[in-house]
Amino acid sequence: MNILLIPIFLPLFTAIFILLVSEKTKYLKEVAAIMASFISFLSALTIFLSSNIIAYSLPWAGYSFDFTLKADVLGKLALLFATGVSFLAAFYAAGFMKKRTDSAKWFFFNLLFTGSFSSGAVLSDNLLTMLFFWEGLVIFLYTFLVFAKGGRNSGAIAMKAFIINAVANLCFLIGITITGFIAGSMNMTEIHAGKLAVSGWAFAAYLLLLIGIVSKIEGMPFHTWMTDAGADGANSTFLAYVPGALDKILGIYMLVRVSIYLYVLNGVVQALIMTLGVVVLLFAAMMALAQKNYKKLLAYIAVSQSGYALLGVGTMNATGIAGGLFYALNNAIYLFALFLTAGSVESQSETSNMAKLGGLWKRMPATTLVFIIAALSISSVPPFNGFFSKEILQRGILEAGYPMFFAAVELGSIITLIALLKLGHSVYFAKETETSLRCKESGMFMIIPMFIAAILCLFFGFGAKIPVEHFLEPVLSYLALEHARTIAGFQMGNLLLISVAGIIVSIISHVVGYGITGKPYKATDYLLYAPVLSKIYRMAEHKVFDPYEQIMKSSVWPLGQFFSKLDSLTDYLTFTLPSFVSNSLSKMSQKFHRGSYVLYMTITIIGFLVYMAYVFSFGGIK
Amino acid sequence: MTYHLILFAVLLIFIMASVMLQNLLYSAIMLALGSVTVSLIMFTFSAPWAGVFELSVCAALLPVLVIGTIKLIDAGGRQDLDEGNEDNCGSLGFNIQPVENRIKFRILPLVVSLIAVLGWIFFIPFFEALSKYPYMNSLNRDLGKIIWAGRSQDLIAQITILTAIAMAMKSILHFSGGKNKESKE
Amino acid sequence: MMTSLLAYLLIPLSSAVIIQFLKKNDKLADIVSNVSLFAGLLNISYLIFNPQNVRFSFASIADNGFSLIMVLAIYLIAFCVSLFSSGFIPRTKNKHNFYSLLLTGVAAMCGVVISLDFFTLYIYAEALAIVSLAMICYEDNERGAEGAVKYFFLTLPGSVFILTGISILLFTAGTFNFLNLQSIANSGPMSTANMVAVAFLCIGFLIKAGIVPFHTWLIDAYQGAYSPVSAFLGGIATKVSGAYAIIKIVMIFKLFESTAGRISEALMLLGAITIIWGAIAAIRQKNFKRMLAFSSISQTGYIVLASGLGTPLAVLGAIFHLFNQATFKGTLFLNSASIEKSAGTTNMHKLANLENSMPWTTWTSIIALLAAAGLPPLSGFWSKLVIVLALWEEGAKGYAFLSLFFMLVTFAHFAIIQKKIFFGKKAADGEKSREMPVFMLLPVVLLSMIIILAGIFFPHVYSFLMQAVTRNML
Repeated sequence: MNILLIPIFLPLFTAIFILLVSEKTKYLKEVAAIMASFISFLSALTIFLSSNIIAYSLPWAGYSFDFTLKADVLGKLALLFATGVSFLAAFYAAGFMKKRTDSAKWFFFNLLFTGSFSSGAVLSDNLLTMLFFWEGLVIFLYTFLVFAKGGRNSGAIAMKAFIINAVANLCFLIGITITGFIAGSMNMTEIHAGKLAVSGWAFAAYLLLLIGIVSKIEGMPFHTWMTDAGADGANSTFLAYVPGALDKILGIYMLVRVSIYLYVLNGVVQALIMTLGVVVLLFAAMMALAQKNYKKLLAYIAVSQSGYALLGVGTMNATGIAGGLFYALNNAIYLFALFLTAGSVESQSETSNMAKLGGLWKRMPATTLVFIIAALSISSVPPFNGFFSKEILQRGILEAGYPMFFAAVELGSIITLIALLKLGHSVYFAKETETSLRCKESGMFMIIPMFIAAILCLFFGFGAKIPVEHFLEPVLSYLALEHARTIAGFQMGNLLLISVAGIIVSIISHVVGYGITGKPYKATDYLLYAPVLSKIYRMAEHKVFDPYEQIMKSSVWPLGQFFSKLDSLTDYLTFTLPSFVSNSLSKMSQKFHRGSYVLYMTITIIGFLVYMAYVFSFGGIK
Repeated sequence: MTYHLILFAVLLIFIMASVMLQNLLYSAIMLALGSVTVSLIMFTFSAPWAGVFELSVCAALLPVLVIGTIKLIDAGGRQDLDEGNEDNCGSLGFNIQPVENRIKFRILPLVVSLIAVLGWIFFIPFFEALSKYPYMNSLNRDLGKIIWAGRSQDLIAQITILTAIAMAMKSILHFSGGKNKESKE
Repeated sequence: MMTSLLAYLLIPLSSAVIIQFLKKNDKLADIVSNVSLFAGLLNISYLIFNPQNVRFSFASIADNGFSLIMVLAIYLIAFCVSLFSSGFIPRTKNKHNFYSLLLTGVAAMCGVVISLDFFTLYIYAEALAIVSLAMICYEDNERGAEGAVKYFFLTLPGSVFILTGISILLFTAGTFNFLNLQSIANSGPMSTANMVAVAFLCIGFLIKAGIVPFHTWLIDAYQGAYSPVSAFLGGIATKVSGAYAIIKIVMIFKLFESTAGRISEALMLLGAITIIWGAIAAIRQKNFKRMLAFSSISQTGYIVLASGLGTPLAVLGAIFHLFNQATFKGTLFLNSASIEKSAGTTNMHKLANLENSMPWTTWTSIIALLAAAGLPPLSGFWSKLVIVLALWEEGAKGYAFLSLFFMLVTFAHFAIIQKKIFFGKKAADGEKSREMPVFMLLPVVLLSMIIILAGIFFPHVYSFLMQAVTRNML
């Protein structure tokens, strides 16, 4: 029994078990889910620590659809983080779901299945197997959203998430198929032996794959479902787990896999990816400034973080890729922690509106501490882990020779810090409101995962050498990317000065804004009313930039007409006509099956005669 | 040939009568007569052993059992069908009064004669053609050898059938109150 | 007769007789019956699936692979029915008779599949008919007796035709041994007389299998019989006496050559008509068991369609479909018995939302229904896929489209039913239902696992069946 099968199949069977067990048991679901994800994490750790590449292969039905798994350096890193996040989420959910009314059994089912499928996706060595797991994740995304009784719109948002992801996944599927055809094999190890150059069909395939990946990491323009879910009050554990942490890990894993392992990219594609990354990170961060809802603000921050990762991998040099990968891994820690704090606050105060919250540091000190650490990390304040990832990324950008993008990254982190200052100030440090009077600290099940995440932020920050040496360097050497010097370390230099300057700018902006409006959650309003920006913000509010809404709005009416006509035709063909036919047949058969066996016998004899006549009709009996 | 034809026609008449008669007793007697005809046919086909078997079992034993049953449950010859004859319900739990509706059955002779005519046209030439077959001609291969000898494994099959019949009878019939009742076949 | 498998026949027979002598002790009868069937099941599974065989792709199996897999199916379904009945049948009924009949039925069915000539096959099939008759009567009310009488009288023409076929075969071929017949069929184009005999044999077994338009007895028999009896009948008995023999005939005679008249075309046509009729008629049923009976008929149509085609791949698909149908229908009929016992009705319009109160029953039924509809990667998908591929390869594209279309119809229909019965809003009858005790759930869980495993390990199954078919066909 190969150890690679454990992270895939153990959560799967546990999920089925949880589903079969009735809702009424008190602790069985939580215990089973936590145990299953913990054992998966341990096996991922074992796989990670073993020095050779573990593989498992089960030839399936021919036609190159083999169930092969391989835990190479990249894969086992992603597996470690994916299972770790899964375990923390399960642990948190054990406390979180107690206070909610939606079905805990379906939540754990979805969580375990998502964990299982994501492990399968990162471990697969065969493109089709990976595709199976990847597509399966979309289904569980939908079921997550639809089973959580979030707000009024949870059904519509679930459908929106499903459609956006399904369309993008369709492109991904086509991309994979074309890749397989061009390369002549569906096995990733074999394709790696002879990498594909991006030209002609391969270019189209790569673009399609890119669409799928960008939608996975909630890059623009595929992000809108997530921000809507945040605004609508979707389940915070879900937001922390899937869009916050897991999608980033999976997306960046896939991006690195496709861009470096399978393809050799040229300058055009590189510029494309980097531009997209920059646009995403800036635009999303600016949208975050306008939010007054805790979770929606975090959602936009999450989208912006995926921009950094895209940018990093797009630089195509060792430092930049390491930066991008480090961003993805760090997101799994600090973004996860931020959403968990949101969940903690929400479960105590029943609201995520920043205007209604305030001064929670007295009542929820642990949550506040976690928030501070995570917020500082995500805004790349030294010496937390976010700072080091930004550092590495910026060095990579400079190496690739795009100083404009460097400025954009700096601007992005400034804006992120402004937004988080606003959030932190208004929720945790302002004057207390009535709703916050009701809050007290969350239970142990919810605090422990938050603390673990915060500690990891500190650990990866202060001891930044460790993740770089153990996580990033092996991947770089596995992918045969050369890098000149060590990429970690707290080095005094120009970059550090620029970062510190940026931090000071953000603080000044926040103080100014707070001074103007007097309310901390309005601290960015002066930016909102700036000349050009206000128009953009108003357009964004009217969902001008949301392609899903735009497409739906403009094409809904004519498409609706067309489909309803088509529908009535197919309705006639598939319902009216067959049911008429089947009704008359059934009435006939009811007359047959009246129970009189004289009739049956007659039918038998007649049938026999007809049969004989038919059989011998070719020439008659001699 | 003519002899065979006459015997077949007589057989058909007896069997149709057995199905169509209302009185159960008369039906049983017609069945017995039909079996006798079959054994006569077998004699004319020079299969004496088969004929004897048919005579002894189907023409003698079975009608005796059947008539015995009918007498025991008093079902023969009753014309009054309207009263709730609970004691006429045998152990099988449903009413074994004869079928009232005979209109469908009146078609039966017509159908049978139709099939007979068709059979004359199609089957007789077929069987004549069969006689040209090599295996049919080599009558030194005793038919008996094929059916009887070398069939010792059928012993187990016979045991299985007997067991099946025994279990079936035990299951269907409930020996209630100590009265032994048997059903047809 | 394959003497190596004789034990599988004798042991149930003797157990049946022994049980009759265990008066008044129901538990002992349970134990004897279940243990003997379980031992047989373990034995035959070991015989087929021991690791040596698997490693060498089943090349080292000495006996006829087809018979082996049929014995496996027989013991599997019989064991599941027996285990289920030990909990299901109340004390007021005579359990000894039930078990004896069941075990005798198992012996008769084993006899059918291990016999090496037509005459023995016929005798055992008649024994099976008697046993089925008695089992349908077990219901002890009017419907049971009516179903039994209908069953007997409507399969009577089948027996008559089989006998006619055997006798003509005796004249023209001089033997009814399978091997001899196969060599005669191989030695040249089939003569008309042989073909007539085969035609008679085919129609006889088709009547016993319940092909449209000879299917009418099947509906009333399945519906009226006592529930575990329906599982036994619908699960394995009808298939052994009807579909098995047709596949055997196809394997022996080369029916797809032109001198075979139109027998293969007739088989395919009848199979197609059966598929259509069964699927359409199933849609309108209100009673769960009646609907299952119609869908049973429809699936038997697939088996006949595939065997009518006659190529090795098609025969492989037919055999695998036969095995699969045994597992699906076993599960579904046993579950319908559970539902009937706990919710009190089989009217589908009155059942709803059983998922909460009977989760195991729900999920095993869903697995069986999805597999019957042909969802990958369950076993039903593979068997249907093989059949459609075989049809397509031989150029029978119309039939291939037909089977695909009705696969979709069946799937849609089943999905609607599942949603209604298991997931819909609670109805009054669904509320008072409770889940069955564990050992009544064990059989359906076992069958569901086999459905899943046969789907996942399809390559092994495929190699086993391929070896069985090629060795015994041409």
